[in-house]
Amino acid sequence: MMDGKNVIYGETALDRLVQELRANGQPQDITWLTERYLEILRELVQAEEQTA
Amino acid sequence: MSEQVRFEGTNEQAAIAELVFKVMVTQGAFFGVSAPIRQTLTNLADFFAGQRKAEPKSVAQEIDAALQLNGEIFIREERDGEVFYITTRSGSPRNGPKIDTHAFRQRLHDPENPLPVDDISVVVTTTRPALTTVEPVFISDYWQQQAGLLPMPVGDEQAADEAVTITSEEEAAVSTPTTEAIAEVAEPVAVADIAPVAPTVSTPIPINTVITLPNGVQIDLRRPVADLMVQHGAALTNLLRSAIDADPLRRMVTFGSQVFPEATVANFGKNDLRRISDYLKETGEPLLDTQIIADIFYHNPRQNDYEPFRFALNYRLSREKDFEFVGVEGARLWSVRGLPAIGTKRVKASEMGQITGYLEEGFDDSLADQSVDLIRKNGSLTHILSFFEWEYGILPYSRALGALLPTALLGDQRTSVLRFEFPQHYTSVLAELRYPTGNRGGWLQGLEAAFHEYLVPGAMITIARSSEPHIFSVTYEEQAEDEDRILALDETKKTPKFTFTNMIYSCVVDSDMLVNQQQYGRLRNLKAFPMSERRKGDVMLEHVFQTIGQPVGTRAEPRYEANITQLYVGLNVLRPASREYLAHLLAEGEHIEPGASSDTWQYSPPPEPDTGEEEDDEFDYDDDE
Repeated sequence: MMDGKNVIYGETALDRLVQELRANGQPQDITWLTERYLEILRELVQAEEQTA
Repeated sequence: MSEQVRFEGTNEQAAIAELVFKVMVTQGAFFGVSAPIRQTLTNLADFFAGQRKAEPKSVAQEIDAALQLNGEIFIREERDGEVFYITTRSGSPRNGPKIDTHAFRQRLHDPENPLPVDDISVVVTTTRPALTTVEPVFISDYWQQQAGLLPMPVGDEQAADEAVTITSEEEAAVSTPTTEAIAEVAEPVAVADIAPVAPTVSTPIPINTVITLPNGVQIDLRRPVADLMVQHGAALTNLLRSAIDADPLRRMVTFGSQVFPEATVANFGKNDLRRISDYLKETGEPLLDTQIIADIFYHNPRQNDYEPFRFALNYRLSREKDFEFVGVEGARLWSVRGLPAIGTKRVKASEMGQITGYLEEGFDDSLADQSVDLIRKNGSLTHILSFFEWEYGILPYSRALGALLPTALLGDQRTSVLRFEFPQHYTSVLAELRYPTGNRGGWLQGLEAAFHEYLVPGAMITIARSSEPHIFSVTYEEQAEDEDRILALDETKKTPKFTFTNMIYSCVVDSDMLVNQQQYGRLRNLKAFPMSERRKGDVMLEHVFQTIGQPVGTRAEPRYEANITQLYVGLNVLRPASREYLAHLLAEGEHIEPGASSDTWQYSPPPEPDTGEEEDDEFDYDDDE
């Protein structure tokens, strides 16, 4: 059964990237963004490895 | 409803069960008949204890006992020490649909990747926006797969099942056998982010940290980012750009190499756009974004929001059909519909694209004398003007020129506007660079007036970069003034005609390429074909043969012989052509064969059908001049 309080909204790496970009407040170069995106993905992978 | 439900147990227990049933049915009065209505035992006990003024604990025991006796009407569940009772308005929860099927969730997940809202808005909108913009319509992967535009992903169903039990981050890093590169990660969040009530996966999921690029290269995300960027930077950047562009939620937008969140991009109203348009028309030439901002919006580069505002201006203008981006990296120039055209009107863009198509067909020998590296290192290249280039102020976009001139900043950019300075004359002109598209070549146009003013066909010029990415200089080596009769195109009469006129020049020229009367007197007999004809290189070459070639045949079997230089100069009067393209035409020519010496060729026109009329000798050979 689906319980409303258990419905959570996840956050993709792209969401985090958008949040960082927004927090930064300035247009960023796509290369910089790619590096940051890879870093976020890497953090997620490492966090997943630790929890597994 | 309760009339149809029979409650078991003693009278007291049946009464309790009926009361509970009524309370829960009231609670779910707006539920579907078979929709589950859920309540905790604690809540029920509190409710009835309050009514009876009794101890909740004892009431809970009574309710629990009574409801357990009515197992067909109430389903008992225990989770985290809490007891739940579930029933339905019909009183038969076990006969209804599967209780964990949630209609909303089903709608949310079916199809797995729902149609983006953008699509729906495009379809159902009945209003017209005040300012029409070309908005891309995003079709989700699901529908593209259904239409056969995209391959069906392997193990898609399995991934969909897993999506309920893992979070999106895990999906990004863990699931999907090939992890579908970065674009996969950029899928809408709403789809796979619902966690289960109770995790059903008990076995640990193997962590897959490898993503596979479209070219098959696998990347392990555990490697340092710097290493990945050095090795696969370009591919990863392109993938991220694609993911950003394909994001149906359009969370980020790009302009050139810059990215910014869409929600924070400032809007420009109709009035703002009209002011920009008027200003561009008033100035009469494309303007830099910085100049537009300074002159119209009075923004100061020292303001914190200057760069975001600049990005917004560029991004918003790029979405307007009346504005055209004609800038390059480092110099974002904007043009508007209605600005005066740059360059000659005597050659249409469609014709010129076909004429310079030989460059895209592989007959570009511009790098024979100077390498790309050298051009880029020196920031300059030398070029000898042909007659066509001089006459129309057009330079074909060869690889050599491409190595010097900036590339397009936007993917769909057709032209760039560059400024060419003539420092020896303290003047400058605007030129339009048309980029090659498909099998059509590119070219640079707009140098006509300056070429006619300062140079002659055969002049050796040097084109060099400046500190500004959109400004170049054209220089030439000076020499003592000389006068010669040089070929020109007389367009004052109804039928344009080639003629030789006296010209004074003071630039160093390539003597072979100087189209003067002494060397190439016969070229006055060239026919000034319309541009639509000049794209046919073989036909033009045959005409050049007949015009400049030495007649070596008989009247019955005419034959013309000319050397490579004559043919090259003659062909370049009618249209641009490289030596490689000329060699190709000579080799492929049906009626062309090698001549007596190694650098000569002969052309034998096919016999014309006898029309019974005397052939007029329209050529006026004047070798003696």
